[in-house]
Amino acid sequence: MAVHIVGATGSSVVAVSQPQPFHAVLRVGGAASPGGAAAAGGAAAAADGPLASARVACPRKGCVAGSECLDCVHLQAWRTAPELRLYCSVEDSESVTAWMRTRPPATTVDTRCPAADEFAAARGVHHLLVFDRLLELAGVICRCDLAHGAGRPVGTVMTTDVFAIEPSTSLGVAAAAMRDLHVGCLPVVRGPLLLGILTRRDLDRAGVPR
Amino acid sequence: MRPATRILIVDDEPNARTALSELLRDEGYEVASAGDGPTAQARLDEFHPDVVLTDAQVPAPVGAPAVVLMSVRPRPPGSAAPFVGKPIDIDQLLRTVEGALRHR
Repeated sequence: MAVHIVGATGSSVVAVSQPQPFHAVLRVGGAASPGGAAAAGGAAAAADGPLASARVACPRKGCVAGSECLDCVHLQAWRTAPELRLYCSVEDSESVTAWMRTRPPATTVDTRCPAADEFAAARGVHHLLVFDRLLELAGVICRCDLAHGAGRPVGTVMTTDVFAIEPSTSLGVAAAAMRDLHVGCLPVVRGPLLLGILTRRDLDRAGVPR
Repeated sequence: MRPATRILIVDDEPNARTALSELLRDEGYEVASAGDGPTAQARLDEFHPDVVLTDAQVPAPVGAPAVVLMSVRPRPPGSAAPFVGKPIDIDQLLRTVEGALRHR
């Protein structure tokens, strides 16, 4: 098994020539405070206005208080009535950290393909990381390969050449890497530590154009 | 059916430009954008906006029928143009744009 670190820098084993440039907008919802009318006066009034008292389903951080949004560099515009709506920006230079999935679904080399496929389906994911008997990363497998694996162990059909990224990698570089390397996921590592996984679905969630 | 109001967004920050364009299209406006003064001047001549929504850091194009300023900072001193703060309260922005249209 080999892990190839992908990046835009010279130190990366696999270099991406051209990060994918983009500026995207996320329409974010949540729950406005009861009876919250729009505040006048822009951000100054909003600091103790209806946005500040709302709960926002932030795609980066989970459920947060609207007061947190008012200090967020990604917030561009907002309204609270008739329903809470925020327009937040995403750009190619943002790191993958907020978008990767930590605790990625995984299986082992000895698991049979149908069982692994059933597990992936139950978790609603397309890719699984594969660990060996020493619980070290051994490869990656997708449900397409699992479907053709019949009753064989995952370890016999998985991809053992794994392309990975570091948490500081930008969304633009990650998107370019997936496109150029024809992969649908990138494990996120820091040295020997596995921190998470970034999939094409995560990039879709972030509004990265295909 | 009334033709859509045309708004030209002038902002050197691409994230703000993209977000404002999308939210104003969501509200039914026809939108064009520019990232600097010369481009804004060219857009003004070809797009013929009803209102120019411009960041206070970027000069508004000459000959704009109505101008609304926006900024992360307080209203620029000495400016009489309608003003909205950033991040933008959408309802306040729409009220300000409609007010600017009435006073053209």
